[in-house]
Amino acid sequence: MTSSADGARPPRHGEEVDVCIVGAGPSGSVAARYLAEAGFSVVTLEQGDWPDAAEFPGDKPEFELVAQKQWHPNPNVRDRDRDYPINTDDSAINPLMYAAVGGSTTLYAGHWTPFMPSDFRVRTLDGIADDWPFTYEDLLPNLEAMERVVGVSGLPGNPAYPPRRAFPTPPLPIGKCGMKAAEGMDKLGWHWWPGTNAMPSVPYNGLNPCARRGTCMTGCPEGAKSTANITLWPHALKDGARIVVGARVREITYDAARNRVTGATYIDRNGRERHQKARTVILCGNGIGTPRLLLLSACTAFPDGLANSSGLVGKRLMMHPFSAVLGVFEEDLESWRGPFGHLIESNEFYETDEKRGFMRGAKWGAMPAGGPLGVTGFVGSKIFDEGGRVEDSWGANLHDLVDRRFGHSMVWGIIGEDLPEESNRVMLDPELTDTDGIPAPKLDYTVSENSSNMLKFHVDRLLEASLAAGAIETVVVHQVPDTGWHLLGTARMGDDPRTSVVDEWGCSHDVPNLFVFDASAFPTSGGVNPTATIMSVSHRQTMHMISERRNVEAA
Amino acid sequence: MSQASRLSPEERATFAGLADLLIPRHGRMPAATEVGAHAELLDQVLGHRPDIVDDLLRGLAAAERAEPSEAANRLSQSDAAAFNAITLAASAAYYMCDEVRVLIGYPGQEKAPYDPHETPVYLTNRMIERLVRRGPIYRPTPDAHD
Repeated sequence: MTSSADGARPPRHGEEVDVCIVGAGPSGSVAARYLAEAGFSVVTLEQGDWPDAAEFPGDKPEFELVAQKQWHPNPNVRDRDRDYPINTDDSAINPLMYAAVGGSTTLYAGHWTPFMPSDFRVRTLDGIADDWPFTYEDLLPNLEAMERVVGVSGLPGNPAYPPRRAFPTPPLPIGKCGMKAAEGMDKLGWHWWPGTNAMPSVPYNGLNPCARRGTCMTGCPEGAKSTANITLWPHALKDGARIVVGARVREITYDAARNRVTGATYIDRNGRERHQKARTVILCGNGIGTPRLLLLSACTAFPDGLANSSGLVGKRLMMHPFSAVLGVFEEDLESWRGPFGHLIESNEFYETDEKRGFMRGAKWGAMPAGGPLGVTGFVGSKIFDEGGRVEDSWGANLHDLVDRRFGHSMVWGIIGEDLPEESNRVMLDPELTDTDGIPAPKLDYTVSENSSNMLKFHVDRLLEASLAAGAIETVVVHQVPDTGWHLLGTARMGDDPRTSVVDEWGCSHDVPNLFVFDASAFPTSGGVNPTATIMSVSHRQTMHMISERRNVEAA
Repeated sequence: MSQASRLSPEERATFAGLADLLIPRHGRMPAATEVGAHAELLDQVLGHRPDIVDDLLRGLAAAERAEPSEAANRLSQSDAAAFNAITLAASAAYYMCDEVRVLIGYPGQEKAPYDPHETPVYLTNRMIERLVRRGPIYRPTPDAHD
């Protein structure tokens, strides 16, 4: 591995670089930032654009209206030019993502919930799924390093985690809504903790403090939610990294004679095909984009997809099926206020108890319920029972519903561990393409019986928690389709080339200069929001690549 | 040509009838047309959501000259997309209205200043103390390093 001779000079067009990274989401941006700092020449290809905070609708009256279309997290609904379509005809869950510098974190809620110790030892502890090649303790230094970059806000001492370093900024207010949720948990003697969020409470690393607008999931107009375009790219660019936006990669090129990848072919914004030569390629396209690209890069040596001798590329897709419980209270909870990242969290039922009828567990996050359109959002033709009338939900009943629920509601969301199954997978669609004619992915995904039983159990517990907090009305939304935020497991890491795609450092077992640093490599999904672990794993792999720079196999 | 200007006076009148069925005067709350949800606010909504215009116009054509309740109930069963476009347009226009927001106590997604260094209530009222006293609830790594 060589470094650019003149330090911080960005690589020129056409110049072969040390590393080509595909995707500028959380994992790719971490890699770009630290590889550039270490002197590697780096080009990142990102199909989206730089996000423009002025476009985010959270500070505009039409916020809730455009959140349902232009800022919807489902690319099939949003249907922007930079999105690629996904065939979900055979998927119970719709995958959610966003193409931009910063990736899907542009629209995430900012829950910062690292995987727990048991998540890395599922096979050893519970006899199912797989262990990770490393442990919670191995990853902890990387996690703590990432928290310093991200500017996490939170209260130290959560007994759901082993003792660890404090967060860099104080916790955000949990508000009336979070306190109401906490009261219910206290009555039941259950665990809760003020939410840790990827948004600082004080100015930090280019971020403004969270202003509690509660619009995290349509982009933060305050520049307070931690995204890579703010926290990582200014440093990466200063250190000479180059990023090409509007670059749709259609193939990772491969030299069979040397068994090395040689770069990436992409379509630029003007529709021209270009090739970025690189001595090393790192894929960070998320759990759907990365296997899509490997499958698109099939060649004579790898007819079933590049680096796919295991046959596992695209398989074991995990998406965290999601249910939620809405509680309505007499008191005014100001429940449109943010952060939309969780106000409080609970891991009371996170660990396996086989008596419950399922393995593993789930994390709960208490969130605000949004504005009036959100509260009335379910009122549509779909809710009518046979023989029901429009006036049952509209008319005077609509006003009564808004009076009762708006500002008085709190939502508990359930993120349950999704176990890996080879039948849940990403393939290439034979007909559907993106706007550049590149084949789109097709999903085959079924919610497992384990996940279904898990969600039912947790819904029942959350109904108890809501009632204990004084809810006068509850609503259950079970297995919501548009909740595939977490795209994991489709190029899993492991020690055995027969049963894994990459090794513990993200290096392909088949092609020694091809790497996967994103959540495609996760052997299991945990039962928490994964961004903290995604960034930590990418940091670990990046630091290893830097320390092993003289030994890395290059094209 | 803006999307909203595609609405003829007849279509706007049909929408007004449906909007007042969906959102009538009730208690302290005004009806949809009393706050202009069929007028400028509707134009704003369609400007932000041009994707619903075709469904909306189809629904209005089907409801033209019909009694609003009869038309809405028929549409909800026969053309869900059109019905949803009409209900979304009416409710979004209504709840974007400043007067309505004041009446329901919604200031919008405003900033809410706070002191990040203020000691939270859950620390002073000992809620957190209970949780800490209970001790760890995680399962440690079975082969944890030192």
